[in-house]
Formats: sequence, structure tokens, C-alpha cells
Amino acid sequence: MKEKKTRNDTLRLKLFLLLAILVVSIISCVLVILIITGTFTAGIRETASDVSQELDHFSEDITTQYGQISAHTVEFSKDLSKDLETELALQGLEPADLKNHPEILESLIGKEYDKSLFALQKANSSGVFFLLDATVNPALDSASNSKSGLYIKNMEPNILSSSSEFLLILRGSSSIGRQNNVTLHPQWRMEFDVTDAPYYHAPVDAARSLDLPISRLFYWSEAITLPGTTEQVMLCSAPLVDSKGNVFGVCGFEVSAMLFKLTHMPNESVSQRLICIMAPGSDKTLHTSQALVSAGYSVRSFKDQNQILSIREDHPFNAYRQQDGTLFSGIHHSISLYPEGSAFENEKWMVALIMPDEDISASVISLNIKLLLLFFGLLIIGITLCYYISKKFLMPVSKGIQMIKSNDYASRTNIAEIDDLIEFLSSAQSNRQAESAINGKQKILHDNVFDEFVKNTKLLSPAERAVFNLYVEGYTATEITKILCLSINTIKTHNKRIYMKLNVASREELLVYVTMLKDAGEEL
Amino acid sequence: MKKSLVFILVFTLFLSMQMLTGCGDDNGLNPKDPVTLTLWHNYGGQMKETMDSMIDEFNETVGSEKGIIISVTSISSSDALHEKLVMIANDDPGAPKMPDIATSNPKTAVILADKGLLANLKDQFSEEELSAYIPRFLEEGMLGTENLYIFPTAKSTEVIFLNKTVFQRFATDTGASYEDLSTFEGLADTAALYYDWTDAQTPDIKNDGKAFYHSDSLFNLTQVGCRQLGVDFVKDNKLDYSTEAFHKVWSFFYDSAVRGHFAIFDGYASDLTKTGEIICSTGSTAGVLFFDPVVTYPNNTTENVELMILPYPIFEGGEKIAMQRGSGMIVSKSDETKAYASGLFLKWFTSPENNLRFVASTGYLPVTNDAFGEIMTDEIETIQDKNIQTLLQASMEMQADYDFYIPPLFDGLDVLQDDYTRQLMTTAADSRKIYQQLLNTDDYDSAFEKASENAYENFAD
Repeated sequence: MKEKKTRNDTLRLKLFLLLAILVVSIISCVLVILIITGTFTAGIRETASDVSQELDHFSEDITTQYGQISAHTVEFSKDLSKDLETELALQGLEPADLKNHPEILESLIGKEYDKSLFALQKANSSGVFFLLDATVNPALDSASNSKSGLYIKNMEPNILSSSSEFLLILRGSSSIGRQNNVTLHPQWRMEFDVTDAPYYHAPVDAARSLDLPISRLFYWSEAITLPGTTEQVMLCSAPLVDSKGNVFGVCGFEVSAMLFKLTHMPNESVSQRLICIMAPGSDKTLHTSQALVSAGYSVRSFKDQNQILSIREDHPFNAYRQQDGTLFSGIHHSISLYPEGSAFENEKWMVALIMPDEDISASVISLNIKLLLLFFGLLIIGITLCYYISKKFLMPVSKGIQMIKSNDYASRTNIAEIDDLIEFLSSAQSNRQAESAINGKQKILHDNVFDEFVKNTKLLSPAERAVFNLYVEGYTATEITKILCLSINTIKTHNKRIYMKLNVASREELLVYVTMLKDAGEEL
Repeated sequence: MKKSLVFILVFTLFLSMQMLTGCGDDNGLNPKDPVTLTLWHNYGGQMKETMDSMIDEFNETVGSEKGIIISVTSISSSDALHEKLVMIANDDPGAPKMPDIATSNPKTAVILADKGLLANLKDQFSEEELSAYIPRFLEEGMLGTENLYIFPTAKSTEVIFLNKTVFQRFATDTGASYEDLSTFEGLADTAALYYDWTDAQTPDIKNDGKAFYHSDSLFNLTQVGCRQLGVDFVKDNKLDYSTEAFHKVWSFFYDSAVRGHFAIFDGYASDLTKTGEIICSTGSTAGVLFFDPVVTYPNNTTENVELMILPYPIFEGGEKIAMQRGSGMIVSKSDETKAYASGLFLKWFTSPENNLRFVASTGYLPVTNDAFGEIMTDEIETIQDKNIQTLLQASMEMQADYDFYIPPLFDGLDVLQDDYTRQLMTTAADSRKIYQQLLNTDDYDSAFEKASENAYENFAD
């Protein structure tokens, strides 16, 4: 029995191994195909493609937004310069006289509130400002760096509303705020401190030293925090120039860190920690402390003083390393904020989209681990199925064998080939049985004839018996005449009697009986 | 054998499901696929640094562990936030998208709750967790319902803010004292004295004295004043002008405003103190950081000043009652994951340790019993900002001695408040114009008598 089971297992094992090899081969082939087609690196390529598209989109948006603000700055500068000059002319003054007439500053600036507010709304920026090369109190020690002007902030530049609730006066006389029902900013100061203010000095110096139109003199400051304030802003400023070419101040617009964040928020579907940076820099470094940054979460470390990101170009992502060693991956483009021929055209700005390096490796590893685990799962399922299939496949064979063994030819396995075999065996057996039955019948018949024959031998007379015995021993009639010293006729007479008594027709028939009885071991 | 195979199959399927759906599930939160919650708050200016650093810390700790990113998408004044949230509630054209979390005062929240835009925060806090918070703060956040809509994060009361530097000069010359400011009547007298004192500094210009005082909210002043005197100003969703108490409170403001002792200004007192136009105001403790330590005068000269904070004044014969103010945080009704994530942020933000950190740099009051107890007493000593230290000491004193008034809330209160304030200021401003003209011919009292004739009766009608 045990021997039989071993045989069965071997057959199943062979089938199982065959199927398992098939499954493993198929999965291996798929894996090879995936490796060849680059599926395992598809995640990183797909992310790179998404980031690249996002960057193109951001670059375009930022270029458009900054371009529009630049255009509004130029337009505002021309309008304001003309307006102020006209207003001063009505008082018999020129812009150059402002320094000597501080008493007119408040009203002069106050009259430009509506124009400034209109410009602010048109430029869709977070603030508008202008400052004149004059101060209300020239007697103060700080007078040389204190400039009168107006700075209106729109705290909600993305909302279309004329509500003054969203406006604050950051710089300018408090009376301008009162007159226009606008609150002072918590970090309000009356005048601009231009001690360290490239947004003032750069366009003014350029305008004074270069003979360029206003459209080539506007300037974008790096992201700065104005003295006494807490929010980073980028300022676009253009010089205020009178009809005689005298520079008497600057004006412009603001892009606050919040406006930048709200208008250039990276798409979360690419990565939750994608960071959009607009920074001054070069192909080797990005100056993040002077950058505006947009991300779903705060990246304060970028804002530490003199913080830079060193760039190492690579594919598909560049590596960006902070000074503390933190690594980011991403890509960047350089964008142009100035037209050709601008006084500041050499200033290089970059738009970068980066994410913490671990996010890229984590997402790729996670994707590949998922794929490998998926294949492992498929392998387990495949092998389990092989086991079941081999078992299930051999079940009718085992059943058939069992049926054959137990001569149960009535049942069927419902497997055509096995059922055919059983049927064949069944019919073969039936034939054998029929043959055996015929043979049996014949045997019974023969037995009766022989018994009669043997019984009839008892009827023989001694003389006939003697002749019969000699026939049994194989002697011929002639030989018997000699042995028994009888005539042939006597023998013939005996023969006739023997034949009659034994119910045979001839000596040949008699000898057939004798032979057959001898073969059957019968004693005669 | 069969069982083990079934086990392998089930395990494999589970493994596959886990791989496909991502690992770990905490009410839908997944650190590998964080949920971003947008936050609007009004903690700008000097409070921004504290708020930024707290949000960064949350994002780097609990947020990173659980899969939550808080993204600040608006920092505006509470009035601007109110305006934006009302735009959302009314579905106005150009209205921004509702943030997941926003700071909000009750008058804003009640509008949003009526529109079904707010999540019930009781779903995110167990009874035991809620018991850690000061009950009357929670009560205010329920807006008269069974649900909790505003989670107390930064409560405040009202106090007196005083430019101590200028007041000391004034007190030295006139004998005025801080005690005088403990009652509204004393405050009005001091204001008169201050007007005269400042007027006298420019003898060549007559009647150019400076206003002494401004209230950030005349509506709050009237409500609390009436309550101190034992009556409700807002009754049955209407304003009650018929009481003696109201007349007294009304006159307190009107009389001094017409005489120029109080400012008539539709804005925050901090604007006027920045420019030295007033030196005393009543307003929310949360306004402390809006008081600039530098006063800029019209000629652009500046003066470094020290701030003094005193308990809220009371009307003579009245009870010690002050307004309970301050915003809390509301959570917009969205999916369960965001609601749960918002709940986690609020729990973290108001844990005693973080709550006190916020309090110590903003001047808001703590919201948990633990934070308000001994911890705060100890904490006050370590606070760097002297103004906040003084403020919290005054607040603690008031917590011990005062009752706090939670104003009623109903749809339309906003309009009543605006109408009342505008009407009162217009009445005072009109009378003041007449008063100033009359001063050319009349003395102060006679001019006032004439300018204020029937003013109250007209107002009350």
C-alpha cells in the first residue's frame, strides 16, 4: 500500500514541479520584461516628468506674473511722475524742490492715494508703494535715509473685493489712513528707512547714471524683510523721473511671500513636499535666504541668513545641498525678469522645484518594493495553484485506479480517457468470463463422457480388458495378437465388443479417449 | 495541510492588499500620504513668528508621524478673516475656498454654523479631554447649541492699555494716578485733565488739547457697562436704550467725546497710540502686540514708550465684570480624515505646554485649567516680553476678581453692532463739530450744553 502511495506522490510531484516551473518561468519572464522596459525606474522617470512639467508651468506663470507687475511698475512710474510734477507745478514748485518743502509732503502724497490704490488693484499685487527723495523732518539725524511716501498693503490680493478691511497702510502719514478709512499696519512707520534698501537705491542710481528709458530701469529686489516687519517681500521698483530727467523717488509693487505661496503652490499630487523656489543665483547655487518659497508647509531653514543651496547637476534630478547637509532633489530653470538692454539684465534668477531627497528615494523604493512583493504574492499564489491543480488533475486517475483495483467498473470518473480505459477493462473482463463459462460447460460435458467411458471399461470381460489394456499401453492390434497369442479375428471380435461396450466407433476414437484420460491423470 | 494552504492564500492576499493600499491607517491618516489642512489665522505681525514656529514644529513632529501638513494660506486681521468667511458663507462671487481650520470669533462662527459649514468638534474630543478646558470658554464655542463649533485656542478679556511714559509725565504735573483709571468716571475725569494738560503745552493755540482715551469696541463697552450696572443692553435680540444704566454708559462716551477728551475713531486704539494721538485705551488683551514701543509723532520724531496694563475699569457702584473675548478655531465640515486631523492639531496646539508657549508670546489667555493654574503663575516669571508679563499679571488678577460676560449671539447681531457703533460715533462727531464752533464764543460747559441738546433723546428714539 505504502509503495503504491509513493508512486502516486511521485506522479503528482512530477506534475507539480512541471507546473511550478511553468509559473516561475512566466513570472521571471514578466520580471525580465519589466526590467528591460524600465518599469522599476518608471516611478522616478514619471516623477521627473511631472516635476519638469510643473516647473515649465511655474516658470511660465512666474514670468507672466512678474512681467505684468514690471509693466505696471513702468506705467505707474510714468503716471505718478507726471502727476506729481503737475501737482507741484500748480504750487509753483518742481520735484527737485521737494527737499526744501517738507510741509507739502503729506498732502502731496495723500492726493496720490487713489491712484496708488487703483494701480494696486490693477497690478493684482500684494502692495503698492512710492517714496520721494524727501523727508518731513530734514532736521532729524536719520533724515538722509528717511523718505516720505506711501505703502499700501493688500492682505488678500487673491480676493476680488473692494473692502478696505483687506488694506493696511504700512508706510505713510497716519492721516492718509484716517482719510481713507484704512487701518495702519501693526508694523507701520511714517517714513521709509532706505539705509539698506536696494529697491530704492538701485533704480535711482541706475536712472542717474544711465540714459535709459523707464522700461529698462525697473528693478526687482531680492526677497527682503523691510525694517520692522516680519514678512518677506519682493519689490519691483522704477524711478520717478520728471520731464527734465531729474530722479526724485521710486515707485513700484510688492509680491509678498503669501501672495507668491498662494499663486505658485506646487501640485500636491506630484509630491506633498514639493517646494517652489524663486531665487537669485547661478548654475551652481541658489540663494534661498533671498528667495520666495512656496510649499504646502513651512521651510524656515531656507530663510536662515545667507542660506544657499549648492547645485550638483545630475539626471533626472539635480542634487541641491543645504549648508547643514540636507539634500534635496529637483530641477531648475533660469528665468529672465528684465528685457534686453535693461540696467539689471545681468541679474540671474532661477525657478526651482525641489523636494527632500528622501522623498524621491522613498517613493521609488516604496514603488519597487510594492512591485516585488506583488510578484512574490503572485508566486505564492501560483505555486499554491500548482499544488491544487496537480492534486486535482491526478484525482480522477487515482480514483480510476482505485475503481479498477476494486473491480468497480460501474462507476465513472467523468474523465473521458479514464472512463474509456475502465470501459475497456470492463469489457475485456466480461469476455474472459464468458469464455471461461463456455470452457466450464465443455469441461462438464467432457467429464460426463469420460466418466461414462471409464465406467464402461468395467463392463469389459477379462479377455476384452486384456486387449483394451494393451491398447492403452499403446500396442497395435498386430502386436496384441502376438502378445496374447490370439488370432486377428479374435482380436477383431474383442475389438467389436470393446467398441460397443465403450461406445466408441473405432480404435482411433478409443485411443483419443485413452489419451485424454491419461492427460487428465485418470487411471484406466 | 489544507488549512495551512488557506492560510498562505489569505496571508498573500492580505499582503497584496496592504501593498496596494499602503501601510498603516489611523482614521484615514497615512504618514506616507499626508493630508494637507489649510489654516487661516489672524496672528500676524509679531505673533506670526510664534505661530510659524509652532506650525513648523507640529508639521515636523505629530504631523510627520501621523501624516498631517498644516499649510497657512492666509494671515489677516480678524475683521478681514470675518469678511472672507462671511463671503464664503454667503457664497459670494469671488469668495475664496473655505479653509480647513480658521481662527474665528463667535459672530463669524454663528453665521457659518447656521449654513452648516462647521464641524462639531465634540466628535473629535472625549468628555475627559474636554473637561481639561475652561468650561466657560467651551460654552462660548457652543454658540448656544449642543455642538462645539469654536474650539478655544486663544481667549482674551479686555484691559486698559496705557502709555506709561507719557502718563507719568502727565501724572507728575497733574497728580493723576493709576487708581483714577479703576472706574470709568475716574477715567473720564483723567481724560479731561489730560486734555487740559496737553492744551496748556501750546498756550498760543487754544483748544488743541489731545484726546486721552479710545475704546476698541463701543459696543462691547456698552454691553459690559450695562452689565456692570445690572442690566442687559442686548435684550430679546434688540438693543435696549431705555435703561438708566445705558444712559450712563452712553453719556460716559458721548460727553467726553464731544469735549475732545475721547477720540472719535472707527478703528483700533493702537493706531492712535502709534502716533501719540491718545495714550489710554480699552481693548482685547490680544491687542498687546499691536502697541508699538515707539510712538511716531507727526513731525516724524519718535519716542520709545513703555506700556502699562491695568484691569478693566468699572462704573461706580457697578460690579466687576469684563468682556470675555478672543477667537477660537473653527473646523470646516469635510471628510472624517480631515476632521480627525484637525482635532489632533487642536489637541496639540492647546496642550498646556504649547498653549503657554503661545500665551507667553502673544498675550492671549490660556485655555486649559492646567495652563491657567500654577503653571501659568510660574511661567509669567520667565516671560521675556515685559508687556506680556504685565498683561498676564493683570489678566490673572481679573480672573480672580472679575466675572466674565459672554455676549449673546444671534443672526443679525453683527448688523446691530455696526449700526449702533456708527450711530453713536456720528452723533458724537456731529455734536463735536458744533461744540468746536461754539467754543469760539462760549465756554466749555455752555458750548457742550448747546451742542448736546436733545442728543441722547434723538439717539434713543
